[in-house]
Amino acid sequence: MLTTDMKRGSTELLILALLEDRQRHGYEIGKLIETRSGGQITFSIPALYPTLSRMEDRGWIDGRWVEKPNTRRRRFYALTPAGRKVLAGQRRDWRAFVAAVSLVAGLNDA
Amino acid sequence: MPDWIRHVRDRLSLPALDERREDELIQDIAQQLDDIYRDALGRGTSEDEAAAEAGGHIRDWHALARDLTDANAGRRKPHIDQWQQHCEAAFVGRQAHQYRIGGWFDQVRLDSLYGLRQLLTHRGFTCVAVLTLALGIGMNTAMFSVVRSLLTGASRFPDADRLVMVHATTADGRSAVVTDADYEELSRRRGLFSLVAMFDTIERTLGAVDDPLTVRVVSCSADFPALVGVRPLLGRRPGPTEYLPGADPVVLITERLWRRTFASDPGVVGRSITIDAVAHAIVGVLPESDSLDRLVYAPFDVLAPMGTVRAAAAGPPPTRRMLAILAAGATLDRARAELARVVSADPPIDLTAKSPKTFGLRSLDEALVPFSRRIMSAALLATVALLLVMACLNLASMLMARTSAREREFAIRAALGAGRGRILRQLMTESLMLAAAGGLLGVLVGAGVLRLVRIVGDAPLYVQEAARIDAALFGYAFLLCLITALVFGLTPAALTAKALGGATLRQGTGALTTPRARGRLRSALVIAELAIGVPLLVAMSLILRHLDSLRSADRGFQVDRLVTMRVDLPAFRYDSDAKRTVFVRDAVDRLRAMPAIASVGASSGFPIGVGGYKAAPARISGSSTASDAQPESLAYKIVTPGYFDALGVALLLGRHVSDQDTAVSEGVAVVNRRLADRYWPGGDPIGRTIVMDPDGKNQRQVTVVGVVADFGREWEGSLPDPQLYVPHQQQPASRMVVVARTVGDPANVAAAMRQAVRHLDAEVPVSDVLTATEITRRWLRDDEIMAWFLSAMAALALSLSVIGLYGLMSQLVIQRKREIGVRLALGATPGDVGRMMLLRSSRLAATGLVIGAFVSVPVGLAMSNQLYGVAGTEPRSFALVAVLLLAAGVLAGYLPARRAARIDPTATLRCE
Repeated sequence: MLTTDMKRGSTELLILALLEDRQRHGYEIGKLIETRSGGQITFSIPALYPTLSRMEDRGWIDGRWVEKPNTRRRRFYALTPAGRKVLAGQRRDWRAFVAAVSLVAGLNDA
Repeated sequence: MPDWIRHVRDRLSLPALDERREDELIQDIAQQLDDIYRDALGRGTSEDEAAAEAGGHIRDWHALARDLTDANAGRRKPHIDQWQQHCEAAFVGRQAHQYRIGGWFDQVRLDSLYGLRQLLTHRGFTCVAVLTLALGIGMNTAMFSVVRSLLTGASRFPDADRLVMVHATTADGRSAVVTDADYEELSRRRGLFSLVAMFDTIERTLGAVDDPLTVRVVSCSADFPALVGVRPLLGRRPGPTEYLPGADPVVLITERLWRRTFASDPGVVGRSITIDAVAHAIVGVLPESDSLDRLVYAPFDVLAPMGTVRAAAAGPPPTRRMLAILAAGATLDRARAELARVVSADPPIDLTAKSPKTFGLRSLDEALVPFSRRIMSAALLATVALLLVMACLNLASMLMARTSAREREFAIRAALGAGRGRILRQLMTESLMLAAAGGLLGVLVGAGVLRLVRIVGDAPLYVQEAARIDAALFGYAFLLCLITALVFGLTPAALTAKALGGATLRQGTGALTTPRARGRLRSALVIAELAIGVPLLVAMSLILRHLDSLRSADRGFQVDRLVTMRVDLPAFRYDSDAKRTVFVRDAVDRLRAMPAIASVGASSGFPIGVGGYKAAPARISGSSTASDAQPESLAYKIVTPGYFDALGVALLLGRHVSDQDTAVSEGVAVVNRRLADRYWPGGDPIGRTIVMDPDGKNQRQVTVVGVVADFGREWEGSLPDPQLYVPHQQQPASRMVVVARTVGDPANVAAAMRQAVRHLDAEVPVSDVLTATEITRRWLRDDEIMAWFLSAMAALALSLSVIGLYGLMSQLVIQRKREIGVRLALGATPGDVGRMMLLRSSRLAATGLVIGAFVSVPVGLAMSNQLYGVAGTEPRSFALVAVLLLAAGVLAGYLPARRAARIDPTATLRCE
């Protein structure tokens, strides 16, 4: 099972990665993380939403109300150029981190 | 379907965020709950179950609110933070490469814009801060202007750095008379001086006007106006031919005379004035100039080519003075050496002198700015500087309070990556902006103060000339701004920096430093401020007591119903002792015959104040205390019979001078008690003889015939000097001051007295018709100006102290609100709480007072030799200050104390 600490550290990367292709709304992000992780990672609103909000506050993502015909008004989040840079940086850092942890902890043998 | 927005809004409260953001977050979360609800419905659950699932999704609303508030640091109220973050984000994202190029400028611009918004948001704080600074800087710039005027030496003249005063000395070191021959001799030395000018000053009578007037006339050689850069307001300078002997007499008059006698008539040029009965054509009007007045030693009325104003028939010739401009390349030292060599190599430079004469040089600056002026300037600047220091301490303390209120903002900015330097720069930018606003307003305040002084009192000319706003003044104000911003901005900034050094963003309180340490520092600042105010208050209290004792001092004569009147006998009409004797005797007789006058007499000077004394070397017979080798220098006055009676001065021994003491009878004198006690202690002074001017051509012997009580004082704080009173008939003077004791109100008699003298001779100038009160006021003018100045400074200092203390106490009440709430809840009465706060405020004032008192002792001691009738460390003055300061402490503490007493304990405790 993933601990809360492990989740918290990776939330930003997950959100950024999900927003890389297109803009999504908050509920969609939570759902996508859950389905793509095979149910391993789940976020409640109190766990996910403040991070989303903080990222918006820092200007990594940009939230916008969108009203499409036949759907309700939703807030969609898109990656900003600054966010794109942060994502690249975080990916690099995580890759290095995972490789290092693997080497030390012998994860590949398991 | 449940109303999710309402659901969220009822549970999620984000008071710290701005409303738009709060709204956005609520709607977005509501939307997500709605998604969960719909998902559940989609899975086939009932509406109630779906609603319960969505509604139960968020359990700890409190934690969510906290997390959201933290996450949205940039969207807090006030809106400024959001704005700033947006700017920075946009800026970083958009133009990364420009960041380095225009970065510094943009950062400064951002800081300033942000600072401006901060200052505009907290208007109350900004107003108090700017006003405090404006007062401090204003008083300082005003004083800077005055001191600049005071210290202006030669710089108002052209070629200021090469202007020198030339003085002549005899071989034995005494100053010698400057003659025409000297002037011509020096004028020929082109290698030394490029220009030489000569002038003298003498009093003359301005006639043929409504009121004949004694005027000061400066006679000068042809180069003088050019040398001192005289530029007439109206008309022109005299031409070269008008300096030649036999030319038609022309004069320039000064602005002062123009205003007084010609009511500033623009058509005055071309009219003529009568000086000593000779008509002189007015060719121009000179502007008033403090420097020029000082160059010729006193304010003057007329500038005339030398030789055209008729020389006095009697009396010593006026003292001539020489001015010169050093030739190009000649330094003062070289010129001194060369001048000494030239003269010694060519001794008979002045053929008429008995002993060889030498010449010395003095730079004009040195001559025009005496040491006393420098001391006075330093004292004035120091006083206003204290005020500025107080203003700075006040601001530092206020800024500290503001900074602690903003600590959470700084902590979050630090957590978000703002470096320590970044935050410090922001703080310093805000300080600088405050200082700049205060400085600008300060220049206006300063100009206003000077204007006010000019309007209210008849300010000395150097104060009038000070009301000039120019680049130097702005430069000074700018410098003050920088210094003050550094002083008052650095303390809070340094404190924040220290706190940020170990920055941890503690949840909930978000405090960076302990409130206790901060409170102590703030208290220390306020105590320092109070302490600095104490010497100012003490100085004020001392000078007020000094004035009081001067006003009520026993002058040795009766002041009620006393009128004085100065009479100047024009030398051209009263050119002999006999004529002067007759006029003065007739005038006094005529006045004595007036029914409104009880008694009358005259003397060569006013009964109090400086002036009117003559001094002569004298040998005193039969004295055990007088030196045998050197003649004593004795001050003497010339008096008419009836003088002592009119003043009400008691005769202690012998007799007064009388009408029988004439030019042909034996020379007599009356002495005061102090003279008798000094030279004949224990002996009988009557019948003793004094030889006046024993080695000079005016040698004469007088016999002491009477002793009168001491009266009048030569200078502040002194005992009356030894005085000799000589009868007018035996040594007639051309300037006499009549003193009359009136029967009724002296103000009603003044005009009649003037008229009586006019009847005798309408060409005799009469002036200074004053009551004893008016003389005292005139005599005390400088002390009164000083007292006004110190009182104003002390009042400002006290107000600053009260403001500082009030600010501190108000913050204290806010900080301790919870504690006070607990106290009240536990049974303390509002009275107890109020008393506690008042006690705290008074204790701060008392601490400041004690520290300040220590500082004040040396101040008092330094002042004490300028004070009359009050010791520099007089307890009563200190007690007055103590009362004032403690009252200020109570006053400053009263409102906060009342606020504390009115705290509602339940409300306070509920908040927490």
